[in-house]
Amino acid sequence: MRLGLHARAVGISGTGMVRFARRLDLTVPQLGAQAADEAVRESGLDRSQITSIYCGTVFGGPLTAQKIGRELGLTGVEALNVENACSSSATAFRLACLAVAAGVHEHALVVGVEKLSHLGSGPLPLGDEDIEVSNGLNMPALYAMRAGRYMNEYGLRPEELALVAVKARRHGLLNPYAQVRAETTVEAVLASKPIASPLTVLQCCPMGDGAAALVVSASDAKGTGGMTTVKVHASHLTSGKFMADSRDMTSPEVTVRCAQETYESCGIGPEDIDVVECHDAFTIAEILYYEALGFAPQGQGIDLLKAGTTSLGGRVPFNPSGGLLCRGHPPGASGAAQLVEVARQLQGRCGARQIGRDRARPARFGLTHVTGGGIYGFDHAACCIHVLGV
Amino acid sequence: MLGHKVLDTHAVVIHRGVPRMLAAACTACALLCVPRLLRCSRCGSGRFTASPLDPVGVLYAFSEVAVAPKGWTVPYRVGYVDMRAGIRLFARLAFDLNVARPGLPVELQVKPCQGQAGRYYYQFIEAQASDSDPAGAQRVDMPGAPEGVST
Repeated sequence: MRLGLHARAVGISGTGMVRFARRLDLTVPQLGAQAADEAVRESGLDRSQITSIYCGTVFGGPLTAQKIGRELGLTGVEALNVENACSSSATAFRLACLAVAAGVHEHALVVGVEKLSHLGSGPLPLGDEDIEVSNGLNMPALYAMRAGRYMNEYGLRPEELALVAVKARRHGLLNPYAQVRAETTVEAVLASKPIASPLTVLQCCPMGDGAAALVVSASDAKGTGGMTTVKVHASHLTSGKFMADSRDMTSPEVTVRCAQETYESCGIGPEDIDVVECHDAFTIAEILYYEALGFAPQGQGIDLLKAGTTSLGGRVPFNPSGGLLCRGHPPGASGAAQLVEVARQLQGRCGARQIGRDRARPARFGLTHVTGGGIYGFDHAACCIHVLGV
Repeated sequence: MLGHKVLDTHAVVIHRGVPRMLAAACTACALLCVPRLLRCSRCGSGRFTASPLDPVGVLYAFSEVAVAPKGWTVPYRVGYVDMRAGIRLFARLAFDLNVARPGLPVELQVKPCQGQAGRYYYQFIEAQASDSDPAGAQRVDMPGAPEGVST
């Protein structure tokens, strides 16, 4: 979807996020409301100017948007609840952008929220009607098989895969919103508890709770706050293509296709992107997405990591927040959290983890990427990519 | 059987005394799918024939899973297999991963569930010396999408 040529330009006028952690003291609506309240205050808008709420959550229960609205005194507005697995709040953000671009609303509140702490530990429940899930597949196992196949085809070594976790922890240490804030080593990663071979627990995102929120505004709308408005240059959502036969598990087709279509829609490509928040739920994922998003040829993603290109201080930091591996991955919250992180990076507000300190020019464009769901016959069921810019 | 996909009687055919999984073959383009979908993903036809699945395949990817829902026995081994019949199938692996490698010839084994009459589970074993030939097993037309139903 191209924004700006045939519709109003859309921007982010406010952001909010809570620290991702196990939050046993708050309900889902209370958690979401905290992030939403910060976003509304930051926008400088009166709540009467916000005429819609779009909420993404997977396990949060029915009518979460309305319950959050009740906490904020924002009721009697258009409210929509979105479930698209891990792409839920990125999808909610896209719907808000479409509505504002079309002139249906001037300002829209987007919230992503999730509580996993009540589910205990272990892999996320995926529903037992899926033929593969009922036979033993879970998300760690799916990514583990991708890792094993990739390692076999391209010679990636276990210690190289562990470097992804080491980088993530180095970034997460600098992020006050991250659930995991402690550095690690390759040795510690490889020696940690096995989850699904070759993945160990330090190569998997932690279970936890979180929320993030944004206010989406028409770029020409009055009444927004003084923060530099971040523009939405592209928004793209697609679903996976069902394939019952052989497919290349080392190249997720839904991300490859979604990225290509996103770049074509806005004329901004990997060479223009200064920062990325991608779906690094497991270490192998970040390597695959370097390639699927067009930043490295297939099979050579590890070279970017080893050269420091994707670390803070590199040409294009990936997951400066620590990513899903460190911030955590409450599915409904992650999409919005990525958008908040990239928006704040482009605004220069990220403190110790700020990108671009040593560059000749400030960062201009950022990309968020989140996939959704593991179901039979698909690489992923959903993929949602946004390009933001200042 | 916790953690195993259990097949009911209608999903299995006994061929030369050996249980075989039934796949759905599109009558228009012959694309196989397991389980049967309402419409063929390739041509959109709603008519399928039950076709005993050729059990031979090669291992594509695999893992040993150490964490699972409560009550499941861990660790267990799983894998994706590219079947000679042209589909990719996920199932448990009944062999140690020290012999596993991409390209390993394997065979789909369908076995009766203990204490559950007419119900079966399936897993992959290392390929036996002779191929299995499901030809000759009775084919049965499967009800598909009603004619005229838009997708």
